[in-house]
Amino acid sequence: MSNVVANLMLHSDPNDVPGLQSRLLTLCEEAGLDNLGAFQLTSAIVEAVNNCIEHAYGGEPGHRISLRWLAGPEEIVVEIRDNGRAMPTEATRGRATADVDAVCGRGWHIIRQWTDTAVYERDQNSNLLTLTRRR
Amino acid sequence: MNLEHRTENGIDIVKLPERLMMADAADARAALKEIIGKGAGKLILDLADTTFMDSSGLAVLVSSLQAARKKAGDVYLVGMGDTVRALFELTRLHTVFQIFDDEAGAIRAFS
Repeated sequence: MSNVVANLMLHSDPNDVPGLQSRLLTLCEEAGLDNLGAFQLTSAIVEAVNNCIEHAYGGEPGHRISLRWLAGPEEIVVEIRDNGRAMPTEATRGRATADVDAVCGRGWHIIRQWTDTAVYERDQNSNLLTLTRRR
Repeated sequence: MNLEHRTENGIDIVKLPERLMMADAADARAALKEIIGKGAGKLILDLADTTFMDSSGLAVLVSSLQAARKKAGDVYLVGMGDTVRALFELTRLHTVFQIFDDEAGAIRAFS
């Protein structure tokens, strides 16, 4: 059974993300993750939020992105929801690794590698990405 | 974005900020492109203060590397902490960039 520890809301503005990153590091520390684990989970969440901003909302500011942080005895669950465009299926499935010297295309790789599960769902007008990380 | 920049023996040395994320990526990319364009293409990026970088930050570094190599130069990274190093290893960028413990080693390598 996971308990909701925090509900966070930000807008689809890249300038909102550094503040979120600081808050996430604190939540990771409070959840008992070590320095590397906190960096990894925070990185995965930041990449997911960047995807909301860049892809779901097409870089258009002012739209809502919500995060729900749940903590259970064995895992941390983070739900990230937006009301933008659906993610392309090929993006959510992800490649095994990004091309090593490509300029971009590493976000989903980071999300998948640094969480235990990453489940994407589309319901009516919203995207929900649920990330799970074992403690 | 104001990046701390100095030149030593024709090598541009730039200190990266505490965070390199999507919010600052375009400015950082433009600033580094200008430094590379005006210089010899030999660039050292000091990551000693950098505790967080996302894939947009990585993209800034890769595009800088490409610009430097077009001028027959290179980008060397120094002062990388353990967590940022883990990101480079995950994305295999540690095989693309030369990474040194400190600035002196990178300067010697350019020399």
